[in-house]
Amino acid sequence: MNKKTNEIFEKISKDWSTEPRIISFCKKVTEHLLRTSNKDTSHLTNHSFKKILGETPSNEEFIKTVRYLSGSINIIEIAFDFNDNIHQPIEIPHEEVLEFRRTGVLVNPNTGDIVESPEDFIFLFFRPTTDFLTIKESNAKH
Amino acid sequence: MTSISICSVRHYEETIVIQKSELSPDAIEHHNLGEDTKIFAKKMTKRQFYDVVSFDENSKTIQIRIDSRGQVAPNQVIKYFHQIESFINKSITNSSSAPFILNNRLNLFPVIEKLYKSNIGRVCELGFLVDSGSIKSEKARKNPEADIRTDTFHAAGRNAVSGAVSPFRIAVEWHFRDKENDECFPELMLPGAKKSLYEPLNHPLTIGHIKGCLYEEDFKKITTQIISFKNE
Repeated sequence: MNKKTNEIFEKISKDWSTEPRIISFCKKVTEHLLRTSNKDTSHLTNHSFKKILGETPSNEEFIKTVRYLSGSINIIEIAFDFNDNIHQPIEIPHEEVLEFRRTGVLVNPNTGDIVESPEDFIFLFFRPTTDFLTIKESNAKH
Repeated sequence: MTSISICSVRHYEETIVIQKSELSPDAIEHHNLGEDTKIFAKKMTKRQFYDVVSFDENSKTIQIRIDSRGQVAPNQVIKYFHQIESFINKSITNSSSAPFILNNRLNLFPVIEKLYKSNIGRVCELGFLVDSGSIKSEKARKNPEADIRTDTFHAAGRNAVSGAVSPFRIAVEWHFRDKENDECFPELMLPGAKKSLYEPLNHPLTIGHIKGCLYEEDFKKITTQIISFKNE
C-alpha cells in the first residue's frame, strides 16, 4: 500500500473515531475497490454495495457511509443510467437528472421522445472516482 | 393450514389462430391474404377459475393463490389478486367490530438470492446483474440435469467476478415423486425487477408464480420453502 492509500485509511479512522461501524464499512468499500478490477466495480447497485459492507447496515449507517465516501474523501461517485428495457442501458448526465427532478420531464436519450413514468427508467449506481482510480493505479505500481 | 376456495367465472382475452380455410374466398380476396399470411384474433373467453386463500397458522401468513390456468395475462392476474384481497378485507371487516385491511405484504425479493445460493430444486431461469453493469439473462434446457447454478459457462463467469452476481429474477423447478401419473415438476417463478437491486425499499416483490403442482401438499412444500427463506 502506498502513502496515499494509507492516508485514506488513516483519515477514515480519524473522521469516524466515535463510530467504529462506519470505519469498518468505509474500509470494506475501499479495500474492495482496491482489490477488484476497475471494470468489475464500475456499476455498483445499492444491493451490491450493501453486500460489500457485509453485516447489514441500518439505513442511517448506509447513508452516512455513502455520503462520506462520495463527499470529502471522494472515493466513490454517484451516476445514473437510463434503461428502458428496449435499448442498451445508457448513462445520463447529472444535469439531465436534476432537470428532470425540477420539471418532471425526461427525454429518452435513445429516441428523443418524452418518457412516461420516467422514475421507472432511471437507475442510480455507484462507482469509484477518477481520483481514487489514480491512487489505485499508483498503488499497483509500488 | 385453513383454506377457502373461491370459484369465479371470469372473462379473459385469448389470442387464437384462424386458418385461412375457415374464411370465405371473398374475405381472403378482400384482405389480399397470401400464402405467407397468418391470421390471429382476440377472443373474449369465459371460464371457471378456482382461487384459494390459505391461512397458515405456523408462519402467520395469508396466501392469496390466483388461478391463472397459465393463460391469463400477468396484469389480469394482478387485477384478480386485488379483487380477492378486497373480498377478504370486506368479509373480515363485516364479521368483526373493526375495519380489517391486509396491508403488510411480504417482500419476496430477498428470497431470490437465497434460492440461487442454495442447492434447492433446479434453477431453470435467471436474470442477474454484475458489477460491471451488464444485465444477463439465462435459460436452462428442459432437462432434469440442467441447472444454471452448475452450468459450466455460468459457474466460470461467477468465479471470474468473485461471486459478485446479483440475481433479480429466478425460476426454480422441483421434481416431486417419481411414480407414473403421480410425479410432477412444479415451477416457482419470482419475477423481480432490476429496479429492486437499485431501490430495494421502493420496489418490493410481493408475488410469485407457481405452476405444475398436482396436490395441495405440492403448493405447501414450495410456499413453506419461500417463507422459510424469507424468515432466515
